[in-house]
Order: sequence, then structure tokens, then C-alpha cells
Amino acid sequence: MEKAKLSAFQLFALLVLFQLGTAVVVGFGVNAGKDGWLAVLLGMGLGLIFFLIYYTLFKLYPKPLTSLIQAILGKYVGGFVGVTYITYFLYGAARDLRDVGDLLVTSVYIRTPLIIIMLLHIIAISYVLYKGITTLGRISEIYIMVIILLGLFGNLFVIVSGTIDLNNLRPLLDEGWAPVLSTAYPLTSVFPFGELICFTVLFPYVEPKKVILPIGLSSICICGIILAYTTALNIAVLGVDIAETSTFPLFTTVSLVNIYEFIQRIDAVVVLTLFVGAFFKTSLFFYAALISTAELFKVDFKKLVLPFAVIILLLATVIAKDFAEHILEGQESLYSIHALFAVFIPFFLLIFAYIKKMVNNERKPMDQTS
Amino acid sequence: MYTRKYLLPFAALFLLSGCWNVVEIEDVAFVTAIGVDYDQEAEQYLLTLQVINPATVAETESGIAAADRLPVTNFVSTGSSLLEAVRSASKRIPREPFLGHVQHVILSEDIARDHLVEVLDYIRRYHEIRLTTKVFIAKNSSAQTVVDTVQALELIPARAVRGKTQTNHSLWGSIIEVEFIDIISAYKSKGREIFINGVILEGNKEKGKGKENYEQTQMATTIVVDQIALFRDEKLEQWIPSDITRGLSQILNEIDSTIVVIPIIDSKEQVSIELIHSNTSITTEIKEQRPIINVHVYQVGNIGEASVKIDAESIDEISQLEDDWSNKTTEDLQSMITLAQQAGSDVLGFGDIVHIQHPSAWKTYEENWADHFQQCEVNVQVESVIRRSGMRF
Repeated sequence: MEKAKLSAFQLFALLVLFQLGTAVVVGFGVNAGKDGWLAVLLGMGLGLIFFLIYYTLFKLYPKPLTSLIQAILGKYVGGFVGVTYITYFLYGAARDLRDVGDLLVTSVYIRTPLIIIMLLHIIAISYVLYKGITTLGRISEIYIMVIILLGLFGNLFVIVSGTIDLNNLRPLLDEGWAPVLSTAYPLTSVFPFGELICFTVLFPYVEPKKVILPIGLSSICICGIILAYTTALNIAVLGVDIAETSTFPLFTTVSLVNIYEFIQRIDAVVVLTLFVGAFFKTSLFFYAALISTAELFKVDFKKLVLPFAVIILLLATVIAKDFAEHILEGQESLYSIHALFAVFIPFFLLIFAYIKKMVNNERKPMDQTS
Repeated sequence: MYTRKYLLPFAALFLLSGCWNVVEIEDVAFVTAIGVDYDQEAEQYLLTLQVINPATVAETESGIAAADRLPVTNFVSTGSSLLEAVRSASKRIPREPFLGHVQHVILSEDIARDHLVEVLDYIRRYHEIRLTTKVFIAKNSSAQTVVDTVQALELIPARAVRGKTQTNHSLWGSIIEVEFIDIISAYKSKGREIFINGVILEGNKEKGKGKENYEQTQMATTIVVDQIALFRDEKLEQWIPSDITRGLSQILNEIDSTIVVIPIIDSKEQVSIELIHSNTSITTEIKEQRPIINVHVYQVGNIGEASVKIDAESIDEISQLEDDWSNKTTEDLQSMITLAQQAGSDVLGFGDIVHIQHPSAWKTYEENWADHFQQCEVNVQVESVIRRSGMRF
């Protein structure tokens, strides 16, 4: 762990940028068809529960994730689980890096090699992380403003251009609750709310500690509502069929804006949003991997930045051979990898922690009597 | 240490080289219009790309008649797929074609009959073409001939067609601006069919290709944006004649203004009314498992011209006129609906409205909506208001 502090606002900014990140641009919740936005809201509800689990764990053992696992499961078993978490964080960073690379290559930089875009991205990220978490926190303060402004203007233009047709959202629950529920878990809850597991690494830096819970929960609510709104907006503008098949629905939605042949072609706003979002997502996963490793093996995290950057870059390149595979793998991983690391392991850790506490409490009075 | 410091800016040069696939603007050919034809014998697409000639555009815009040079040049290429045809045009175009500024795409009737789906797929995949590009079907000529025709006033044909579309839409209302996104969403929807505007060449088609078209005050060939093609299962089914298409615009709530001529009964006299506002609401009900569609139109207009003396102060006379107007509009809308029903093509989007208002009943119609649409009962109710009788001097 490095010696650094995160203010309440910085934590909030990081949380918001992380959750909106890539989710706002990719077709989020469209598996539930017209009712995608409902699925997102339900996912947000689950997200709140996930966050409560992570926070309670931290409350019981106020340490970064890997040390926390070791404290619960013992040095060796905990160490093993910690190593698997490091690989998970690296995988998460690689996925987000690939997301930004693929969007840019499919939409604007058709002939630029994927690895070049990802290389420039990871260089910037590595530099920031080398400077430490305080730097990332400060950048987040700037970029949250940028994202808010982009979001406000983007929305204003879409609304004013009159492409919204609310009839596209009707009828409500045409296919019943089944597709909504099956989308809410895991598609719209584990991603992006479950990925907040990597914030357990950041909690020890936050001062004062008591703000973590209210800020975490409120940011999840805000992001859930923004994401649900975006999903509804995409469907209202494009119609459910186009929104479902479109590679990046928000990009298509914004490209339709045409106000008096004057304000048009503002697609760049979306590219910028994804760029910023993916930057923070990749950074935070990357940082979680760095600190977890540094804690586990007692090394200086600055020495790890370069090797990890190379690993993430190469992983992002070999993770999938084409875009279709990348997207498919993303969905599959939500059922397996992400669900395991973001939901099941933390949940069992919490149960173990409580059992351990109970056993300890029972032992104490016994010790006194004997 | 010092060497390091001085080398750093040079290292940064590698990052400042700009985009990977940069094309200088002088090397880009801006395509403004595309004509798509299909050669049945060779089974090939015939593509006409209209490229802007930037130097001449500047002269044209400044108002000086750039009579010696046209602001556009057309290039024709062929290919068994659209992408192949676009790319093989590079043999003839000295610059790299850029499709991001395409204003409209004109399809031939052959394409509209058999190959619309392929065109839509190409448009959706190709990153440069925007979904807001307008689409037309060449009715009485090849798409190439339409793209080749130049017009006076707007020397850039793409601007001419766009201007005509807008004026027709806002003053006459016999067409509805159709963009690729509208076509794609109608294609994907089960309760709505595709319709696309037509372009018709009037006059001597051969003379439209150059300056000779506008050497006289009356153009030899005029591009007319009129009539609407009605599709069934992504195939062109029928053309809607221009006097009926206004009914379509009115039902779809797309009409801004138009002129309706009402004959006065038992006389040769007539009154022209200028429509200034129209609002349509459609409700559906299910009776004995059959859908019933109720179309309610509220329209407001002014008296624009009358061959008979109308007493503007007489409430009776005005309300009589309002009734006549309502009847006339009801007739027009009915004939549009009958035409669509006979063609079995729900361009009116009634299916979508049934879907929204009666989701559970829709499930039984969904698969063969065209049949249900043909048999469904449609009631039209029109409410007309005449506000003013025009200011007379």
C-alpha cells in the first residue's frame, strides 16, 4: 500500500466514472428488449447489495483486498485466492482496454492497428498509476466535470432534435418479467456494479472512512438511473430492433442528431465519453492488480507498473481473435468469471468472516472461565 | 542527463504523427449522391457516384454562373456487391471516395423489387454512410439518369433534390422525408411496412445531363419529387399516385401544409382551403378477436381562394364548408387506406399501434399481420375548423 489519501469527492468521481465507463456506450441491458431499462434498475438494486457486501467485509477487516482475504482464510489459502484475484483484475483491465480499442477501430480509426490504439492508452494509464492513486483521484475530479458537460449537451441535442419516440418503449413488459429478470442477473448487475469489487483496494485510502458507504450507495443509484435512462433513450430513438443489433447503440443514437442542418455529427461526444470511461475502468482494475500484488508479495508497486502494463496489453490483444468473440466472451464471462469473483467469493468470504467472529466470541468467554 | 533532456522532444515526435490512415482533404472525393441500378443480365450492381468538384462549387456559391464547368462529376462502376462496386470505382476516381457526406441514395425499381435488403445491410455496416441519408426510388428512368440530371437554381443535384423534398414536404405534403433509419426500422418491425419516395423525370431525359438543360428558361428535364412506393415484404409492391399520398402523410401526422380544393355541390364553383394544422390520433379496439382501427383527424385551415362569394360572417356557410372539407378529407384518407389494404402493405403502421395498445392480442396477429390488416375495419373521422377567410384588399 502506498501512503496516499482520497477525498470523498474523488472517491465519488472515481466511482461514477468507473460505473458509467464502458456500460453507457455498449448496448447495456438490450437483452431484455424494450424493458432493458427496467432490467438496469433491477441490476442497480443488486449492485447496492453487492456494494454492501464489499463494504461490510472492509468494515470487519479494514485492509486492502488481498490482506483481507488472508486475514479471513489464512496465509496460504488466502494467498492463493489473492493470486486468483490478481489475475481477475488483470483480466478486467485487459477487457476494458480491448473495449476502447475495438470501438475506436470499428467507428473511426478503421485502418489503425488495434494494438497501436491500446498501446497509447496503456502508456498514459501506466504513467498515471506510476505517479500513484492521488494523481488518478485528481484526474477524476477534472474528468467527472467533462463527462457531466458532455452528457448534458449530448442529451440536450438528442432531445431537441426530436428523434425520440416514446412509443418505441411501449408496450411495457411485452414479453413478461422473464427476460427482464434473466438480464438483471448477471448481465446488468455484475457488470458494471459487481466490478466495484476492485474498489475494496481503494477503501483504505479514503478519508474520512465514514463517507464510503453513503457515497458508494448514492453513486450506484445515480449511475443506475443514468444507465437506465440511456438504455431507454437508445430504444426510444432507434427502436428496439436497431438498438439490439447495433454495435454501439449510443453512438448510433447521437449520430442521428440533426438540428436545422446546423448541429449535426456530434458522434465524437460518444467516442470521448467511452475514451474517458474506459481510461478510468482500465486504470482502476490495473491499480487493484498492482496493490493486491504489492500487498501479497511485499514489493514496491511502482516496480510492477511496467511488467503489468505489458501483460495487460498483450492479454487485451490475445483475449479474442475478433470483435464478435470479444463481445460473446464478455457475456459469457459475466456468468462465470465475473460472477465468481464479484459475487460468490465475496459472499462466502463474508460468511466465513462472520463464522470466524462467532467462533472467536464463543472462545473468549470460555477462555475466561477456564 | 542533458542528452536525455534534449532527446525527449524527439521521442514525442513519434506520438504526434497524427492519424494512422490520414487522407489529406485535397485527396478526398466527396460523394454527394449515389445511384444504384441493377444489371439483370450481368447480375451486377451499377453504381453512379456523384463527386463534388470543389473548385467550381466555390464559384457557383458566389453567384457567378459557373457555366463552363459543372460543380459535379459522375463516375460509374460495377460490382457483384455494393462494396465491390464502390471500391472498384477507384479505378476511375482520381481521389479517395468519401461517403460521409452522401445526401441521398437513389435506387432503381429493380433494386427496390429484389435487392433492397442487400442495400440496407451495406448501409448499416459501412461506417461512413449515415443513417440519416435520404432515399428515393427512380420511377420512370434508371437511377443513373436521375443522378446524371442537373437542375437550374441549385447546380449541385444533391442540393436540388433535397430542396425539392423539403419544399414539397412543407408546402404540399405529398411526400414524407424517408431516411435509411426509417426504412430499417420499418423493415425490422412486424407491424409496419416500408415506403420510399419516388423521383420522376419530366421532359426530355436525354437533355438533362449537362448545361443544355438550363440554357433556356424552361428546363428540358425536371426532377420531380413525387409519389410514394409501397413495399410488401421488402419488395416494391405498388406506387401510390400523388393525389393519394397526401392521405398517407396526414395519417402519419407528417403533413405541414397543403391545398385542398373542395367542389361546391350542384355548381361548378369551388373553394380552395389551405391546411395550416393537422393532428391525427389513432386508437384501436379488438372486437370478436378482430382489430378495429379508428383514425381521428383534427385539421385547421384558411380559405385561400374561392370562385364563389363566401359570407365570412355567416356561421352557417362556414360550418357547411367545414363539413364539406371533412367529407373530402375522409374520402382521401379512405382511398389511401383502401389502397394499402388491397396491396396488403401496412405502410400506415396500424400494426405497431395495435401492438402498443393491445399487446396480448397482437401476439395472435403478429405472424400474419398483412392478412389481418387487409380485413380489418378502419373508421375515419375528420373534424375540420376554418379559422379565417383570408384577408381581402
